[in-house]
Amino acid sequence: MVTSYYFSFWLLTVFAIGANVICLTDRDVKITGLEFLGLSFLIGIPALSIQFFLAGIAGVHFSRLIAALPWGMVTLYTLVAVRPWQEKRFSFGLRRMNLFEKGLSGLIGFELIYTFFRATIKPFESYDAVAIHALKGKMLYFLGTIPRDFFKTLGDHFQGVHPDYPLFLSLAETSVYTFIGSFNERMAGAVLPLLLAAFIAVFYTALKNEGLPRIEALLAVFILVSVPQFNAYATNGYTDLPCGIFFFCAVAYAYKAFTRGNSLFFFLSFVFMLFCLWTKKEGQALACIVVLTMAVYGIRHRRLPVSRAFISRGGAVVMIFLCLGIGMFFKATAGLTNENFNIAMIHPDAIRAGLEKIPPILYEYQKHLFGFKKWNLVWILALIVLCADPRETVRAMRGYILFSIALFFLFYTGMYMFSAVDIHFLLRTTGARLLLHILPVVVFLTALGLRKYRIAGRVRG
Amino acid sequence: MIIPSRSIITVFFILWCVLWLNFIGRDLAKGHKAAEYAGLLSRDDEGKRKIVYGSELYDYLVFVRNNIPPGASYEMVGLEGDSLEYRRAAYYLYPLLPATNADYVLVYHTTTYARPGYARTAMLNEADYILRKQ
Repeated sequence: MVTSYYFSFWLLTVFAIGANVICLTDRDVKITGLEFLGLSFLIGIPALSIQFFLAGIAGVHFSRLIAALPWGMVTLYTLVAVRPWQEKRFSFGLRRMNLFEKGLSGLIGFELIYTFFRATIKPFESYDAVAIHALKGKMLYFLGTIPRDFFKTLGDHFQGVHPDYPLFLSLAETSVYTFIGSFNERMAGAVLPLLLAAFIAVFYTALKNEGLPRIEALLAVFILVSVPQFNAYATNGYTDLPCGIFFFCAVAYAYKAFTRGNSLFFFLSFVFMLFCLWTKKEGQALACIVVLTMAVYGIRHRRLPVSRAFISRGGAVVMIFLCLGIGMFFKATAGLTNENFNIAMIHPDAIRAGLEKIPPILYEYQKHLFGFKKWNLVWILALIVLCADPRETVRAMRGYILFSIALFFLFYTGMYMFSAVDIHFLLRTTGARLLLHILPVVVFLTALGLRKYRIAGRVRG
Repeated sequence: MIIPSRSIITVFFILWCVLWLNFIGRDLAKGHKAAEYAGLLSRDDEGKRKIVYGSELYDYLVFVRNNIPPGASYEMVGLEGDSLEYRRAAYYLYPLLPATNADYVLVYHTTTYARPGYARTAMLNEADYILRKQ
C-alpha cells in the first residue's frame, strides 16, 4: 500500500516535470489532450533520470525531496504564471467511436495491459538488464549517489558491464527505488511499459495531426504495438525501445516544425535528441541524423520563416554538440571507452576489412525484412508502400523522414563495418534490436504514405 | 501507382491479426509461458525469482548470501563469466562484489575444487559450497 502510494508520487513527479516543460515553452497551446499527457511522461522520465545523474555527480544523496522539491516550486510558478487550467491543455476532444475503432482500441489496450503484465510479473532477468542497466540501477540505489570511483568500481569488478553506457534506464530505475524507498524490481519494471503507453499517445496524435482519420491512426498504432519484437522490448529492461521512441519523437517534431513552421517543435526535437544521447551509445548517431536532416531542410528552404527559425535555433544545435562534447570529456576523464565501436576504429585497414562485412550485414537486413516471426509483416508492408511511388515520397515533405531512414541505415551499417567485434556475433546479438530504433519512424512514414495513396485513389476513382 | 485499396488493406489486416494471434498463442502454449505466468502469479517476489533463475541457482545464491558477511568479495567457479547465470548471480549478490584474489570462492556445480590458501567453510551439497581465504 505504502509502495503504491510512493509509486504514485513518482508518477506525479515525472508527469509534473514534463507538464511544466510543456506549459512553460508552449505558450500558444499547440500541445493538448492526449499528446500533452503522453509527452509529459516522455519528457518527465528521462529528465528525472538526468536530474538524478547531476545530483549524483555533485555528490548529493538521492532522495524524494531532492527529486520532487525543485519541480514542486516550478509547478507553483507555472500554476500562477501560466494558469494551465484556463487553457485548452486538457481538452481531449473525444468523439463517439464506431465498432471497428472500438475494436482497434480494445486490441491496443489488450496489448498494452499484456505488456505491463509481462514486465512486472517477474524480476529483471534478461542479459543486458542484469549485466548492465538493472545492475547499475541497483548499485546506484544502494550507494545513494554516484561516488567518484563508481565507474572504476564497475569496470574493475564486473565483466561486460559497459561502464561507458549512458545511464538513462539505470537512473530511471534508481529514481523508482528512491521514491518507493525499497529495492522493488517489479515497480522499476513498469518504467518501460509506461514509456510505451506514453509513446502510443504521442504516436497516435502525431498521425492524427498529419490528417489521418482516427480509424487509420488507430490501425497504425495497433500495427506498431503488436509487432512482437517491439512490445517484447518494453518488458525486458533493455534500452532499445526508449531509444527508438525518443528518436521517433525527435524526427516527428522536426517534421512537424518543417510542415507547421513553429519553432516550438524544433525545441522539442532537440530535447528528444538529448534524450537519445542519454539513452544509448547509438543515440549519438541518431542525434546526428536528425541534425543533418534539419540542416538539409534549412539549406533547401532557407528563405522560409521556419528555416530562419531553425537558423536562429542554431544555438540548440551547438547545445547538442556541446552535450556530446561534455559527455565525451566526462568519459575521457573517467577512463571510459566503448570497446565495441569508437572513432579510433575508423582507419584505412578497417575500411578494407569493413567492405568484406557488407554481405553478412545485408544478409542480416533481408533476414529481418522477410522474417515475420519477430516483425510480423511490418517491413514488407513498409517496403511495398515506400516502393509504390518513391519519387512522390522523395518530393513531398515526407522525403525528409525517408532521408532520416536512409541516414540511419548508412550510419548503422557503418558502425557494423568498423566495429572491432566479430561481425557474425555482433549481428546475431544486436541486429534485431537495433532495428527497433528506426521501426516507429518507418511505421509513421508508411502510415503517411498509405494515407496519401488512399486519397489519390479516391480522387482518381 | 495506387496499390492499397480498401479490400487489400482489409485482407492485410486480417492476415496481420492471424499472425499476431499465432505469435501470442505459440508463445503462451509452445513456449510454456502460460504455465510460467500461472506459477509466477501465485508466488511472492523471491518465489518469482526462484522460478526465473531456476531453483538450483537460486537456492545456491540464497545459501551464499546467508553464509558470506556483507562487504565481502567473492570469486565464482563453475559458471562461465559471460553466461547469463553468472550475470544473474552477480546482480543478485550485489552489494557483495566479485573480485580476483577474493575473500571467498563460490563453487557451483563442481565436485572437486580446491585452492591453496582457501578452506571449505559452508556446504549446500557435494557440488555446491563456499571456500574461505585462510
